[in-house]
Amino acid sequence: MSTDQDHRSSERRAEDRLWRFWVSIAAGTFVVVSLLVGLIVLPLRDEARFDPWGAICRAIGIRKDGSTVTKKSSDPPASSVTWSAGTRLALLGASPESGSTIVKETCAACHGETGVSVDPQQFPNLAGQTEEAIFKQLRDFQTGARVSDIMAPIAQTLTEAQTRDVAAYFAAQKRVEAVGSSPSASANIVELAHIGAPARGIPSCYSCHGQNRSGPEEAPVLFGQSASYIEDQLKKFASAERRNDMFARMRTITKQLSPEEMHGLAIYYGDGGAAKP
Amino acid sequence: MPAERQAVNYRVKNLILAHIGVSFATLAAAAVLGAWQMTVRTGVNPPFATPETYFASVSAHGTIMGYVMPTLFTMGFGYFVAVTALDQPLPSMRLAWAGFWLAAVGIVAAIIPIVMGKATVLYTFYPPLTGSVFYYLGVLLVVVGSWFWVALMIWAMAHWKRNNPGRPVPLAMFGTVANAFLWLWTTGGVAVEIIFQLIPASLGWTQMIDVGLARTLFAWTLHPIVYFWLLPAYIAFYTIAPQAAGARLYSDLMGRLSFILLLLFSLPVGMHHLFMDPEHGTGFKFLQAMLTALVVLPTFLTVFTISASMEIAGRLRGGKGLFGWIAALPWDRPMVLATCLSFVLLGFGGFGGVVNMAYAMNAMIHNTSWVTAHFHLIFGGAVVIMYFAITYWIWPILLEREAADVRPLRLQLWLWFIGIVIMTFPWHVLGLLGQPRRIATFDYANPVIAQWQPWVFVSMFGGYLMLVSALLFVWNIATLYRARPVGDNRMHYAVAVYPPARVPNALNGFALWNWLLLFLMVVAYGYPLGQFFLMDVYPGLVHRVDIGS
Ligand code: HEM
Ligand SMILES: [Cu+2]
Repeated sequence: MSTDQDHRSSERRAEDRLWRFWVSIAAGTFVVVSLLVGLIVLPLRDEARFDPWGAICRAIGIRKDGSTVTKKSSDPPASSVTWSAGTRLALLGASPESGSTIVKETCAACHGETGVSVDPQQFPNLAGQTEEAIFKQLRDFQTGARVSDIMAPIAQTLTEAQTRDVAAYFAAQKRVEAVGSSPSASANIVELAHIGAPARGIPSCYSCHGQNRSGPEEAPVLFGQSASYIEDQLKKFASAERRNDMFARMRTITKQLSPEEMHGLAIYYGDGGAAKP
Repeated sequence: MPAERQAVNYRVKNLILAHIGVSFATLAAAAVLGAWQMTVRTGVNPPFATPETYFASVSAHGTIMGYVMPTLFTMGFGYFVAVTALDQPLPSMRLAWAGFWLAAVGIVAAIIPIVMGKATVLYTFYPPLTGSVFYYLGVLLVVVGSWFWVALMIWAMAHWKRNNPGRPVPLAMFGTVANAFLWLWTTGGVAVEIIFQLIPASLGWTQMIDVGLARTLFAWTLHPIVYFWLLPAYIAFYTIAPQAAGARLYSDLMGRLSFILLLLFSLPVGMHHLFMDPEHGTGFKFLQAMLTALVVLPTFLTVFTISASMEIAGRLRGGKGLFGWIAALPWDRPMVLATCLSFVLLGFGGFGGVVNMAYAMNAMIHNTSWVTAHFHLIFGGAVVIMYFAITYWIWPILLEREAADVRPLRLQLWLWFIGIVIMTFPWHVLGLLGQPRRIATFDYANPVIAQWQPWVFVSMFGGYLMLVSALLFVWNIATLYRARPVGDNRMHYAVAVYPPARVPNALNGFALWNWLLLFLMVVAYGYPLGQFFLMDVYPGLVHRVDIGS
């Protein structure tokens, strides 16, 4: 009787072992094959050269050299501006009229009374720039998120409400003629602007800076700016000297651009048809 | 076969009635909100329509339909199965009632802030949006209450196995405990998110919140929760529907396998909700997509087994030929009708699900009305229609009364079916046309979207049919209280064609499967979650909706 039971329970144990064995084999094989395909085989197809390590890194979302962009989570946020309902409502209530008086006294000497800069190489044109973009930059000058020896002391004389009024005033001015794309721009620059370079993780410039922008609120209009100003900013993002872009968007993108591409894009956006290559 | 006929006693009646009663009371309220939301979306501006009220309403509707209604139903049905299938009292009535009251307090705590407009964060509460802390605490209480149920189900099965060594656990209970384990695993992600991210943020203890981490933790929960909702329906397919059709279950083993596979393949797959998210690379998305695809195994097993069981029933009733058995089925019985309607809805919904699951096609319908249409079809349709049918089956047993006329029951089920089809088919189309979900107002005067409006109207009509059906359901249950007493409270589960005398340990418990699941979860989520602690992260600024007033 007892031997019979022993027999049965040892049979059970053998059966359990069998289940454990085959279940482990099946699950293990499935996982290993899926990981091989997902981490190596598929990403390798997009790699220009045979580079398994690069493929794995891309598949788990990091760069091959292990670098990530610039900032630690303990750092302060890139900007203190948030696009909350409060910010938007306040911007809606801004007054271009009172902005106009402030501009005459404070901004006109460099940026021009109607936002057409006296020296576009140095001082950006503000006419027709979006209200959000101007507001965000002024706030960032005030808080030091964007560093400038010239703009910081000037911006700091404004209250937050005055900042909004100024932004509303410039936004209402007629933009400097937006000439459109330069006929001299090379095909790859046009493609970068319109389509981006997905393989390098670069979205198109248009997706945020285009006419029907669906991107972040603060993304400025680029047409109508001077090429050298744009190129200067791209370089500053690339070196992380300028770091007030939320979520390090521009730092991430510019890090991927070559100096020639920055130059080309700056001309594409900046000088339009008037560009002399 | 003593497991065949059991009486509901052991003083659990009120416990079950309380759970399922509250579940359907909230469903009725949420159905009213749903119909109102549909009306708002047509652009006709019903009373009270503002964006604020719309999002408050969707938050309440989603919270109830997603967390409250199915959880309480599953708990109630689980208690029912535990006493009837095992023929033993619950291990602890006190614990069961404690779980119920925790959940009940949680429901009230969660709904009040929504009504006050302080927690219009929608049931997915994606940060950086945060609402009143009471909302999160309320949801957490519902979850904690349900953990009491989990403990009781596992305990009850362990107790039974000790007293019945070597005997197979009855299939209904096996499925219920599979669901209990599934729920325990499922709630892990959202509980961590609520406790460590959302509550500190909503209290103002933290100003920054890691949105990627929060989304990943939520995705952990978001997929398996669907299977938690679904499993009671599956339990009914296997253990009640064949009985209702007057036959036997084709295979007990298939049922066990299906429940185990559902447990395994519902959990390590949630990242398919993050296909379009930037915080993860493609590698682990691919692994989880592969694991997602494995859900076809239990699905096909079930479709096959239940169809075979129904065929047996049809042939026993004299059905002949290739399809004659279908006509011979007892369609007048609500459970049989609901099972068939549910299968049809599952078929439609499964088609949409394959589209969602495909990495490339997902991009096309991501965040459009397609998604809302899909889960209403699967969950609101295929699953909830089985909740109705289960209730029609067990409520009379609990009351020891019998409905004199089942026509209103069948009418209710048909209305629900037709309503969901009319509601969700145009909704899918709208998704393909690009209509975003979770939008309060549409300006149909804009020619770009004017063509949407007729579809929205048709869809709204379906929504009202569903509302009528939900109210008819409440009515049907209410009238049961005055129906003829029958003095019979025995529950009959379907018996398998070949009832197993013994089954391997692996198919009679969950130890092996929980270990395997642990392995799969570590592989699937280890790096995707770990990366947030390894590399530089960019938390978002917390955005509070309940500031002021
Ligand atoms: C009378 C029947 C119903 C109607 C008319 C209805 C209608 C709606 C509408 C219009 C929305 C908002 C969609 C949006 O703005 O994107 C919604 C959301 C939702 N519904 Fe229903 N519904 C009904 C029944 C159900 C049922 C039975 C369930 C599940 C059991 C359910 C689950 C949900 C969930 C979870 C959401 C939240 C979606 C979100 O937050 O985006 N609904 N429903
Ligand atoms: Cu899912």
